[in-house]
Amino acid sequence: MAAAKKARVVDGFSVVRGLAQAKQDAALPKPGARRPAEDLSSRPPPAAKPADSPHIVKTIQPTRRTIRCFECGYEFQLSGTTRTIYCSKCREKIDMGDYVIDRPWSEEIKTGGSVLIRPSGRLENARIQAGNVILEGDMDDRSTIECTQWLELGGQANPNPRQLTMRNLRIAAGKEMKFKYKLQVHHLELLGTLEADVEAAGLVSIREGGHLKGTVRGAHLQVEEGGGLSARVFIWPQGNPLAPEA
Amino acid sequence: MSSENQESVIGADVEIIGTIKSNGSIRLDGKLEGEMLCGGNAILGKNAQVKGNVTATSVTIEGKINGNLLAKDKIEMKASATVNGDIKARRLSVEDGVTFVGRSEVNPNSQPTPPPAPAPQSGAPQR
Repeated sequence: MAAAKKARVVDGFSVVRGLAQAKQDAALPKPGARRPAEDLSSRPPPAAKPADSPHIVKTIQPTRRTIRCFECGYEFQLSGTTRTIYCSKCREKIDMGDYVIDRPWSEEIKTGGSVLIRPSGRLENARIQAGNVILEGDMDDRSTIECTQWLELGGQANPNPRQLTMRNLRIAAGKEMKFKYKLQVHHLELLGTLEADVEAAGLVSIREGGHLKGTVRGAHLQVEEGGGLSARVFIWPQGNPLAPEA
Repeated sequence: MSSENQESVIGADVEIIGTIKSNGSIRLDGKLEGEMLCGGNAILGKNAQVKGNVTATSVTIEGKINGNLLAKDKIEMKASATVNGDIKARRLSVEDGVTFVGRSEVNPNSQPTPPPAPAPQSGAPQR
């Protein structure tokens, strides 16, 4: 029987044994001794990479988004995409799927993802709870939309504002919307026209072609050239100095 | 060089009480207590403090103004601007960070009002 070949395995023991052998052979430098400077003159310079080098020069991190549990209301961050996720607090399963509605719809949708209601779609006694909703279609009086993040109103949609709950609101280009009651949002982005009494905790952004009529109260206002503002304006970045302190 | 292209500069250590009129552009870095009528561009620098109305072709604000702003063309508010008063212009640009309390009347899509028709001259046939 042939002698078994000794396997070369690098484990902790072999490393310690190798170091002891090197010390015996005086191959190791003395403790505290400086390592001699390496002569780099003979080494060729690194090749210059072309501008369109396929090498990865930057790591792109997946987008982070805030998920709000529909059951307990706990908010947590999610990186990347997934079909389902469990709430970090109550362990409730949250659907993260995206939905497109392009026909009459009368079921409930509860998702942390996005819901797109196309112009051909119509909500009939439907309840939509989603992270983001783009409403281009129509909805009847019994339907409601609740967004934990952005609600975009566009197309021919003309919903009753009382049926909408959102954190941030975007009015698409060409869209005209009128809110009769006070509109309280975090961020507001206008590419279309909005007539309302707006109170925003975040940024009110009027983009080119957008127009805000009514009243705007908040801390941050941004108007791009080409945007319109026909309103009473109360913008205090440091907070309202006239407001009573809490 | 025509006077409309010239820019008059009012330094940071200058304080004016009264009305400033100019056919050209004005850059104000000091204090003004009164009205500013400017045929060109009015630039209110970071240190500028104005108590009064400003009328110009275009207005750029970096400082503070307590008064109304009327621009034939454009009002530009930089992030450091503080405006307490009403504004009226054809175009508006506002950077995040401004303090603005007042009424705004800016509608870029509106048609400019046509100038009134000239009065018929005496002797001209009237219908």
